[in-house]
Amino acid sequence: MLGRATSGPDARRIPVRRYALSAAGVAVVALLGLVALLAPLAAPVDPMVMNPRARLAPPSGAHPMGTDQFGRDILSRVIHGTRISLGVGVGSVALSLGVGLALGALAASREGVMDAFVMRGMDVLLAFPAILLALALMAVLGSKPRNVVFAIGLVYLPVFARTARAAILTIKHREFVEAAHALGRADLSRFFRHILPNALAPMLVQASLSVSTAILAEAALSFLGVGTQPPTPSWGGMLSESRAFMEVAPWTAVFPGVAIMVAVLGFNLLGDGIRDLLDPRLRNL
Amino acid sequence: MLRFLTQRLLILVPIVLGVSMLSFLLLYLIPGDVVDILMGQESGDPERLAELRRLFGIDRSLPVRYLEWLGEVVRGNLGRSFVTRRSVLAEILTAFPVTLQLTAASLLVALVVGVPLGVFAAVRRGRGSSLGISVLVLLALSVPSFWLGILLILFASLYLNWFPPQGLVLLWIQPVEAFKQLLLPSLALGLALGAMIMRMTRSCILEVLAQDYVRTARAKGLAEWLVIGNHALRNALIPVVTLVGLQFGYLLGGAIVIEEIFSLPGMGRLVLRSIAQRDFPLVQGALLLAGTGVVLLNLCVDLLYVAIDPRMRRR
Repeated sequence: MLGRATSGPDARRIPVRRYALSAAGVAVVALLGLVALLAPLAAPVDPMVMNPRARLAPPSGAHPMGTDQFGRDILSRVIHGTRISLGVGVGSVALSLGVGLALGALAASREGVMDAFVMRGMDVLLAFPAILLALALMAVLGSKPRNVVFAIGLVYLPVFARTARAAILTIKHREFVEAAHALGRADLSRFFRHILPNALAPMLVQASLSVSTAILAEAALSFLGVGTQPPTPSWGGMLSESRAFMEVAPWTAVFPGVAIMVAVLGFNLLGDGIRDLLDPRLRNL
Repeated sequence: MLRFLTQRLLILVPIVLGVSMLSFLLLYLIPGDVVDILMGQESGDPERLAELRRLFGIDRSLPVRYLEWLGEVVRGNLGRSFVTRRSVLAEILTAFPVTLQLTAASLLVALVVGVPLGVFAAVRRGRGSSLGISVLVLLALSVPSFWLGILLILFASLYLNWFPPQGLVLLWIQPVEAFKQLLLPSLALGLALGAMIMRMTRSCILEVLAQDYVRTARAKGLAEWLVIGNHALRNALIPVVTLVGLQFGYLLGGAIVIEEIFSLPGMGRLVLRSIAQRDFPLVQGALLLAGTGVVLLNLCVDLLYVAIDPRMRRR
C-alpha cells in the first residue's frame, strides 16, 4: 500500500531538499553536542554567578541574551542547559532502547505466554499520558537527575519494545535465519549474528526521533518543577522562572524556548534523515 | 460486529487491571508509608503510629491491600484526599470538565488546521506553497507547547492588552467566556497535533490519489473537488483517526502543562497541586482514571474504524 504513492521515477532517490534538511539536522546536533561538551569553555561567564546590579538587563554586548532576575547571564545558562537537555535526552533514549530491545527480543523469541505478558505490560505503560506518568514517577522517586532519566526512559520504553518485537518477528522467519538454524547455530549466536544487526535499523530510526521527544519531556518536567532543580541551569527551569518577569523582561522567556526549539528541530531533522536512509518506504511522510 | 467488540473488550481486561496495579503500586514506591506522610515532621508515639497503620490497613500484605482497594474502586470509592479530606472522585469530577473542554478545543484546532492544510499540501505537491507548509509543520512540531503558551500570553497581554478570563468557566454555562478562555490554550496545545495530522493527511491523500478508483473517478469526468472530498479524503481519514486516538493521551498530558500556564483549574493543576502537597491518593486516582480513560478511548477509536471502513467488520 505504502509503496504505491512512492512509485514513479522520482521516488527512488531522496530529493536534494531532503539532503539539505538532513544535513542541517546533523549540523545542529553536532553543534549542540560540541556546546554541551565544551560548556565551561563556551560560556562567557559562570552560569551561577549573580550580579544584583545587572538584574533583568536587556540583551547587550556584555550579555547577548540579557540577564535573569538574579543578574545571571542567560547565554551562559542556556549553554550550560545544553548539558542537561542532551544528557537526559540521549540517556533516557539509550535506556529505553537497551531495555526495549531486550524485552522485544524476549517477547519475539518466546511467542505465547511470555510474549503476551511482556506486550500487555507495555500496553499498560502506553495507557498513561506520558507526562502524567513521568510526573507521578518523579513525585515518588524525588527530583534527582538520574530519576529524570529513569522516568522518561520508562515512559518511552513501550515504543521501543514494540518496534524491536515487530522487527525481530519479521526477521526471525526469513530464509537466512532459518538457514543458520539448519546449520546448527545456537540460539544466542543466531540472535547476535543474524537477527540483531538486521533489527537495529528501525530501532535507530526510532531512537533518533525519540531524542527530541525526550528533550521536550525533560523541559516540561523541569518547567513544572519536578525535573532539574534550580539553581542548576536547565531550559525548562529557566522558562518556568521567567514567567514572573516575562512582561518586563521578555528575553528571559524567549531565549530558553528558542534553545529547546532548535534542539528539537535538529533531532527531528536528523531522525527524518536517518529514516529516509534506512527505511525508504516512509519517505513520503 | 459483536465478535469484534467481544474480542476488543477481552483484550482490555488485562490492560485495565495492569493500569490499576501500577496506579496502586506507585503509592508504595514512596519512601516511608502513608502514616509517615500524614504525620510529616511530627514524631508520634509508636503505639499511636501502630494504631494508625492498623486503621489504614498497612499492616496487611500487599496483594490483600490491592484487592481491597480494587473492590472499593469498583464501587466508585477512590479514597479521600489527605489535604482537603474530600473524596478523590469528587475532586477529580470537579476538575475534569475543564480538562475535557481544553482537550476537545485543542483537538478541534488540530483538525481544523491539519486536515485542510494536509489536503492542500497533497494537491499542490512539489510547488512552493507545499514547501512552505512543510517548513511550517517542522517548526510547529519543534515548538514546545508550553513555550508557545507563554509567547501567546506575552503577545496578548503586551501588544493586544487582552487578558483571558480566569477561574472555572464551563462551555455549557458561559459559552462566550469559555471561548475567550480556551482560545489561546487550545492554540498552544493543538498546534503540534495539527502539524502531525497535516503530515498524515498529506501522505495518505497522496497514496490514495495514486489508486485506480481515483483514476476511474477522474475518467468519469467527476469534478476534482468531488474526487478529493468523496474518494480521497474519506479513505485517507482512517489513519488520521488512528493518529487522533493515539495522540489523545498526548493531549491529556499536554493539558497538565498548559493548564498550569493559563491558570485553568483542571486535572493538570489538580495533579500538580497534589504532587506538591504529597497528596498521593489524588495522584493515584488521577493516574487510574487517565489510564483507564485512554484505554477506553482507544476502544472507541477501534469502533470508529468500523464505522468509517466497513471492511474492518469482517476482520
